[in-house]
Amino acid sequence: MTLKEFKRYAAAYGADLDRWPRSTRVDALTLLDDSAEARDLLADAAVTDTLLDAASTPLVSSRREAQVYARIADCLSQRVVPEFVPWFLSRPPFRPAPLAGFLAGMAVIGFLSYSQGLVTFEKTSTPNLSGVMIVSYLGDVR
Amino acid sequence: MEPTEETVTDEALMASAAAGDRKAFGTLTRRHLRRSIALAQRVVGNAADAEEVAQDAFLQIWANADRWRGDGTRFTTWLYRIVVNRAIDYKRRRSFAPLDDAGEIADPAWSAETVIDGIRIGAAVDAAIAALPERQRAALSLCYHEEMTCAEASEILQVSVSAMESLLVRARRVVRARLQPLIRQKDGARS
Repeated sequence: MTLKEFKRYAAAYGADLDRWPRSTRVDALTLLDDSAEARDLLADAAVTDTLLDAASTPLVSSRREAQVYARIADCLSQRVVPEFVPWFLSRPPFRPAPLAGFLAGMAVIGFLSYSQGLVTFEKTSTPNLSGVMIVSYLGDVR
Repeated sequence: MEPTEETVTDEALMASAAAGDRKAFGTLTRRHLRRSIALAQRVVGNAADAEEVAQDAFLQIWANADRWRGDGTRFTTWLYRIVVNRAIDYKRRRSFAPLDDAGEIADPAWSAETVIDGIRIGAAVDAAIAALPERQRAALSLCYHEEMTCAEASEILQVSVSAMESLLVRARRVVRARLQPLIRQKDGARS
């Protein structure tokens, strides 16, 4: 381990070698034996560690924990009956399989209805276009 | 032998919760709620917001329980990722908090007697940590205060280990720089 690498690890993990990546610890100890500069770097990191140790620890009392738990349970009990959302309005990701099945089913029903004569398509009479021609003619005159 | 409520793993409970088992989810919640609130509090900086963050996180887990795949991922990694992300979002949304909510800034004019007062040093350190950018604060909380390994913390923050190390280096450097007046005064008081 180079001194530069040692400095980087000390700056990231602090002076407690137990926090360092396991693979680096032996090399770090060897360097500490050999280098006064490494020892100074570790002592400097220890100062920052001491400061961080002075930070207050958030206290979560049992009462506070129970209150939050009760609120979570309350929210869950209000969600017992899920809101009905039809599958075709469901949120992404888009579900192509049910949609394809639905369209295929409709196509089969349509085909069977037509082939069994349930639905017929009668030809409509040819429209009388004389009125249209008159309108068109009048438009042209104007 | 059937595992009891105490011995059943988080992952097994989560699998049951994913199948709609409310009791299993309740057990999971009781098991991890306290630590989740504490972690959220380190990131958001106050108790009331931390409770809301933890509550939202557990409700989100229940709502998305069917997405739990259990493919080797630890439940706690998933949980803390949600807690930290929600806490960071929460903190960003509340970036214009009232001045009264702001922590006390370390006063370089403190006397030597005040410097050795642990409570005040603690308050100054808290203020220095609270002033860090969210991700640096989260990195410091996970690795230093929650005593997770860098690899675990990097999974939670969804960054590489080297990026996690960079976050830690910057966080420690900033805290140190902000508290430098205290260190100097403490050294001066000793000499």
